[in-house]
Amino acid sequence: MTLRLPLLFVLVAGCGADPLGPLQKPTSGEGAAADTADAASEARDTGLLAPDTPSDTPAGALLSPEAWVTRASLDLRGIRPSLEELAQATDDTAAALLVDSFVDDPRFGHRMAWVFNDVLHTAVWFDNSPFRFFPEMTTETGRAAGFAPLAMVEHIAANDRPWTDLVTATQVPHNDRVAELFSVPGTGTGDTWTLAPAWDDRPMAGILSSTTLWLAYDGDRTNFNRRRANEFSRIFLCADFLAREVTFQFQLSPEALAELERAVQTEPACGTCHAVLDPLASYFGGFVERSANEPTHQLALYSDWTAEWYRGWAEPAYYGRPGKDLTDLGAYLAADPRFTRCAVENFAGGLVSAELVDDRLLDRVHADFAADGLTVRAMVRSIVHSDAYRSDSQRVLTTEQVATSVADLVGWGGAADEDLTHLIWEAEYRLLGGGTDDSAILVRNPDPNVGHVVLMTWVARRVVDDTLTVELGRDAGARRLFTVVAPDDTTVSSAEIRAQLVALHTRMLSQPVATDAIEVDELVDLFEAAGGTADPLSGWAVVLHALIRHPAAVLY
Amino acid sequence: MRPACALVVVASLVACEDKSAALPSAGLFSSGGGTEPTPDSGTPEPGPLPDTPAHCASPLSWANTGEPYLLTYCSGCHTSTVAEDFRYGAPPELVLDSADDVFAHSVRIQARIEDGTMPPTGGPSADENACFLAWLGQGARGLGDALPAGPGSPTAVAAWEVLETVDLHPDFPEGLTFVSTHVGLGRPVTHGVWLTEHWLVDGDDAWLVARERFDTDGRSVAHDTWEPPLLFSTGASGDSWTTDTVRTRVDDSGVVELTEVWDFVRDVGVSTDPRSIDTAPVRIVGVERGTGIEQGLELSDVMGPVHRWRTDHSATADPTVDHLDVYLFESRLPPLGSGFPLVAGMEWSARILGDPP
Repeated sequence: MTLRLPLLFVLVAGCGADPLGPLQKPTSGEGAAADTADAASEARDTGLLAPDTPSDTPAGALLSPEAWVTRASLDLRGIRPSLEELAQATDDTAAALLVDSFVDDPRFGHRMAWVFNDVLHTAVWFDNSPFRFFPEMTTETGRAAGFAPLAMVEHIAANDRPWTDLVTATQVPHNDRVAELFSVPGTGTGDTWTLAPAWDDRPMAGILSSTTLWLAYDGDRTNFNRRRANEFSRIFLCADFLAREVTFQFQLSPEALAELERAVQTEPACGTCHAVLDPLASYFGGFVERSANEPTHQLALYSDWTAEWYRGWAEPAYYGRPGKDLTDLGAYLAADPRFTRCAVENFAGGLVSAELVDDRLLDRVHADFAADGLTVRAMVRSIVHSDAYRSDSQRVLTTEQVATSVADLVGWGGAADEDLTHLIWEAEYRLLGGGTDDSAILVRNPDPNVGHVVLMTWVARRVVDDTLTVELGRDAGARRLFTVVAPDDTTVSSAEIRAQLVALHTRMLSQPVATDAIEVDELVDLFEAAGGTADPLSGWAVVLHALIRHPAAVLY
Repeated sequence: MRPACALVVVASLVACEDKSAALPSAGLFSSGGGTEPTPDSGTPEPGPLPDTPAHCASPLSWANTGEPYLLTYCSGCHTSTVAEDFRYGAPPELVLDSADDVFAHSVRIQARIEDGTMPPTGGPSADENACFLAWLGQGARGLGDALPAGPGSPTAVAAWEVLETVDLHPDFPEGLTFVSTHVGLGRPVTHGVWLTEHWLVDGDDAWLVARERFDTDGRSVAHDTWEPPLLFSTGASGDSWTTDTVRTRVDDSGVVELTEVWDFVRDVGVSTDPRSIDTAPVRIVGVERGTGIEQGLELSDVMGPVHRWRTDHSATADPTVDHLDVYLFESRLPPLGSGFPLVAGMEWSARILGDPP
């Protein structure tokens, strides 16, 4: 896939210190600027850019080795490939080796946790939850609570534990921030996750025993944990009761609730779902129900009394098989063929464009997953080597990927890095980038839209000046972006400027270009228009702005 | 019993895509293996095995098609371990624990899926039905291990929910009456008033005067009266006290008077139950010396009474079914304060664990 830089539009829109241009699908050839401007006008009118049109690449075409390596690097490590890695990706064989190395990268586990958050939806939930007003809820404790179940996914993925550990482990990740939130014993490890048993004597079954998971999916006194049961089925079995093709009309007496409950327990029509749903729900009776009066330290407690009450309400059972508690539930789930198949479906759904996920892909990946100890690495390795993954269909970076990849590119750390974490943890930024808020918006927008323009403009404004400052403070050999020239050097030659622009284009967009490519010509024009060698810092600032806001910075 | 609500199913199962899949096929029944189960009805019609639809897994197997479909749509009612009361009318003989079971009932299963009557209101997509029927038509092959039956669960204690109201009763004008109405949430499903208790309340003190239990037809089953009443106090000068009393029980067998001595202790209870609003409520426990019958109350400084219970160790040898716990659901109550701040007209929901006393 080739993306071309619509620099002309940037120039037309404004060659000042802060040129703003909307993020736009790649265009090429004559009229690109006019087309872009028209589309931008439409976007302003409608609030959204026009939907992406199908690629002109023939159906079934695969990404180039470089593009494959780029996609895999962003998906598996959250960063762009280095210049050296791109240079190594000369053919499919070399690219495959690199992709394999990314699966083994230390960042892999954390990335997979975020991929699974699109199923679990707990990470940023607390920020939007009723608990955000609690005195114990701080930025740190809220994020920790939201990530706690995902830390289990990270642990399993990073340590090659079988996926079944997710629902059978007797110890789960815990840290001092979660302990602080719920006033329970800590770990002494600060923000670092460490495996620990639950803080009370609840039955253990991996994240099925998680307090925060079942706070995010809470129960109340009228639904009898059925919501939790359905989320359990959706998350772990890919079987959403609410998605079933059933239709009812109810004629209820004024005593509707009691009548409804009785029907639910006796009518065969209701039994279509409730024969399974209610016995599943009864496994979750020990977790707290929604109540305005509960202090946080009681939210975290597991109640044996209510667990027993639910056992009396509906005998716990897993699709007809009786059980006693969460531990039994986890054991059943781990033995269910739908559980591992659903894991494949979820990870494939997170890594492959939805329209390309089919049973053939899932079958093959599932076979590889099962053959290699049910490790996430085995599953994901199978996915990223598939043709579906390599398909030349455009994808949009998540805001988490934007944050980690930009942070890696500029590499300055410190306070400005914290700014980028907004893209990961704060709903406003996530939604702007087509993401989810784990509360009301649970499905990503797979298409680029005007929100990305705003988001990447914000990113550029936050990072460009600091990046130049930090780069200037580095020794020449330690610079991360300005590997050819110093950004304040007024004596550089045209050839050096072109070489630097090639390096920036390649590094920031993962698209190698020749020194005499039109993309470089356009960047030279931009550099010169913004100050050139007379004011190189302004020139390079505009170049960095343009590259961060380039469509290829979020499309991969 | 009031009639169940009317449910009108207006649409159900989407028709199966491939109705040409003849079941059972000659290939399935002429294998001569001698160990395969016999389909439950119909005569095998010779014919080709159905093709596997393009969207299905291939080859179709128990693991990739049969078991997932069965678990998702059938097992809730058609598993051998589901008790009759929870099978929603599924015939006891129609057990589908394994691929062998499915094969044995394959004609019936295919017919019910194809005519859209099973599952009763649909659920599977047309694609899912097509794959499952193809697997069925191909002989329910790829027999694998069924999901294990798993551990048996202990006999559950009865559990249900009631609506409790505080009222002034014309026959008991000097005090307050708790009326517990079973609202039918939970099993067993019954309705109506099942328990009333008469209490005298005065600030920090409350006396249990009488308790009456009713059956599902509203008929009195047993009526106990204590004279003098049992004192539950948060304001007493000491932390323990004794009440000598006579309990008069009226039930079907007549009238019985029992002399009882109740020893009461008040302390600070430590509860880790999230349903108790306070982790250190005032806890008052009375034990009848002769029988060991225990009655208790927990009172929160925030919410007043939040939990009461009765444990009768003489009732049965099984300690899991001889107690009665009632947790008031504070989520529906306004803050009440300490002691017994009860007035007529209040109501709350409560959950009850245990067989009726």
